[in-house]
Amino acid sequence: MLQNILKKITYGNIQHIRKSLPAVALWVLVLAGCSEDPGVVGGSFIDESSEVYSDTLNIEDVRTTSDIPDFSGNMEYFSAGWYNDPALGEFEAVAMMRPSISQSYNIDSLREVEFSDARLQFVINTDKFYGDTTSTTTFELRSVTHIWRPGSWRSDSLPSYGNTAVQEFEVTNQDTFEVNLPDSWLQEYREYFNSDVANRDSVYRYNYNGMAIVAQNQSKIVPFNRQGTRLMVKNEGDTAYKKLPMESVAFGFNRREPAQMDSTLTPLVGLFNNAMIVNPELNQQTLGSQNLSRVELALFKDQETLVNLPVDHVRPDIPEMRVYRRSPDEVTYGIGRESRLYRVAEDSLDNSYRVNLTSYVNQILYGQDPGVQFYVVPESSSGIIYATLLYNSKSVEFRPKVLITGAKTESVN
Amino acid sequence: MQQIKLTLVLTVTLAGFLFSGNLYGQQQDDKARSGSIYSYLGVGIPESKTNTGISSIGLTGVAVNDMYSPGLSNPGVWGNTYFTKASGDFTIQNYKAKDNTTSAKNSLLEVGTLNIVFPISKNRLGISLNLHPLTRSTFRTFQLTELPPGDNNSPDSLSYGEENKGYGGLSQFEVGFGWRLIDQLSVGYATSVIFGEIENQTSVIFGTNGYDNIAFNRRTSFSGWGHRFGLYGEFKNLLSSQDRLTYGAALSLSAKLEAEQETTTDRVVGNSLETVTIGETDFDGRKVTYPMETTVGLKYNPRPSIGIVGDVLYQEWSEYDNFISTRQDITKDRYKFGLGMRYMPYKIENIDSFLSNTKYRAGITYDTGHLELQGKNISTIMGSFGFSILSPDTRSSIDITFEYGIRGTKDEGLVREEIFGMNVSFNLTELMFYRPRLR
Repeated sequence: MLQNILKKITYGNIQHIRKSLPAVALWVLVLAGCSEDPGVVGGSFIDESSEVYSDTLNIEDVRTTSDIPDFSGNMEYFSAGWYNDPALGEFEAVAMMRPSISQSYNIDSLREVEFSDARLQFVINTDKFYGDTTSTTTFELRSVTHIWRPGSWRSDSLPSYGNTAVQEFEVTNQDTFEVNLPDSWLQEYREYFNSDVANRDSVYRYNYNGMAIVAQNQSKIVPFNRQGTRLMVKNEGDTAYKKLPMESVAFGFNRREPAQMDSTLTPLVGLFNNAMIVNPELNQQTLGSQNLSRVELALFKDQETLVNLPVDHVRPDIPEMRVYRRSPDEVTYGIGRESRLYRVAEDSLDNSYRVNLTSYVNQILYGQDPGVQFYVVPESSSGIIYATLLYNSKSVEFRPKVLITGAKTESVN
Repeated sequence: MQQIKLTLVLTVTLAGFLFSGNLYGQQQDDKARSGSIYSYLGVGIPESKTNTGISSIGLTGVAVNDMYSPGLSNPGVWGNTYFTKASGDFTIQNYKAKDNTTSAKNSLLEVGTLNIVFPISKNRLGISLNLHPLTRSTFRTFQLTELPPGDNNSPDSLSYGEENKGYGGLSQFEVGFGWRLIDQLSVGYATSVIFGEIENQTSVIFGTNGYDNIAFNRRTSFSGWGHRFGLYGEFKNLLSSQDRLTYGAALSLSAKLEAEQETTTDRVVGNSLETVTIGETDFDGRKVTYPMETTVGLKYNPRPSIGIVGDVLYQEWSEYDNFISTRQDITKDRYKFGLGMRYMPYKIENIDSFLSNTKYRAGITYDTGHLELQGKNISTIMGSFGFSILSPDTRSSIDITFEYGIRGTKDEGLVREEIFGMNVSFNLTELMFYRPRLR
């Protein structure tokens, strides 16, 4: 009987074990599968699936243009001066300015010239001189002889002005100074200022063309700060001058090429006085793959000619090179400054400017080819004249090029 | 009996739910189940068609007709079917891989085979439906490389890491029949559709700012038809009144597979992330030749409780055309030799205990492999041990198998893998369509 009891107990245990074994087996499978540490084995016989590569695409289509209109009105600075850069040629810049006749600056009328006074306050950026920093530049104020509006004044147009100087002043290296204005000028100005006709502003702009700032000697180009340049007026008895801003400023400049220019170098001068057009041929065949990690446009600055400046002569440091992405028909009437723009700082290691084109190239490969070119100029929206030399496609070593890093996708297993 | 049946059904259902996203290990799996590093090459590591009742030996079992578990390796045995039999199995394998410089551990958890055999005429004519893997390609690798200064448009070196994750392989869905002509001769035939995808995800990550990561996905699809033949026979009372000798032979014809490959990548186009196709090919209509396979084997039972099994497999991998990749001549003919033993104490009269209601199996195999790299065969030697727990009423069973093996070599910069595996298979055996006779 005892044996039968034992057999039953044993049989019950057996059934229990049998029932739970599948679940136990399942858990063992799951737990055993948790340990994993994939390492770097097989590196010597496993080929790369990706075949990472780097390549260089030399750009053949590199041109220059002076035909892109740019407008210099009411920028942060307006420049005037005269300087002969041994590397880039002779620059001449003439500025224009017209003070405001607003009566909201605590003065609503000007008394007769015997009982009033006017002078100009100038603020200049001495860090951005272009030329001989130690010489004295003589400027004359002359009357502008044509109607002009700041929004439509092209930077490549030199203003016309009269033969008679309204006033004269000198700039050496001071950053703020004042210039007295003669009674003859004040007399004309007060007539517009004191006018109470309904369209006094329009009448003023139509009839009074402002003053030109004209350099009288080759020395340097001076950037005048628009916000800091004021007309200071007061009537007899006023304790202080009232300061009126410049309602309109603009400037024009031109450049004559130097007698000799290295053919491998292209001058780039801001405000599209001279821009470089770069047109790389970008497609899957020239790029080598559709899988690209980095595509960059590399432009190289001259490292020999630019350094040959006389002692105490400077060029303003270029804060950034601007590369605009435009189709040719978009630039006929100018380039809108802030869109489709790459701002590039100089790489001091190799004096290059490198533009990351990866997103743009993906658009070409996977979307629509917008058919654009790249227009390269130094920073050009402040009113300071920047200039430099870049190598063009005639240079074997430093020509513009596209640097490509990507992966080919050939099957290798 | 009812409780065991319920347990088995629930376990199979639960396992199917858990692993349905990785059915047969052939579908896309973002978690990259990692297997043998050698499955990176070609169409993956070939899998053997085996019977669940003999999987613990590691052999194909071409000469084995297990009454209570369905056979897959030989269509000829399907005509010797008395019960309706179904099976499914899961495997986990741990790989410890080493080369001369480093090591890695990978794990692979996957569903194996689904197989159903119906007796149309008991012990005379049977039909099989089965779905099983032919090859597996499941791996994950990582390499650190660099482009030296001057070769990457920079004065500094450019380092990057490349991760490759692959999954997929070929599968076979088969329908066949077996016909027992006489005890000494049964024949069988099966036709099948061979299909599969092998997907390889490559990610390149650069170690320098300003470089976008590169990721692309290459998917190769295969499809074709297969044909298989089998012979099976039994001889009894050769040397004693209890002994039995069975033989088996199976032949799978080579199959021509159509192949298509698509390469895609995710790129930012405009302001949105898009998946774009960067390459498509049908290899100009060329077909992949999946090699011919033949297996022969013998089983000898000196008495009903003991069986000694041996078989040899041959696959003509030298005929595999590797035109899909740039690597040539890496495959060679494959041989697999196996020897094993089964012990079934439940067949001994007057023994009834827990241990006696269990089948035991052990075996050893040597596989020359189908790859030759750097002049070296990538061979595998594997030892297996397992047991089956039988239902006392229906003879349904659960088989548990453990295996340990070594594949490859560290010579010539290759990889040596230690493989530890465990397999659980479920066999359902039912006497269906049986009309009991009243006395």
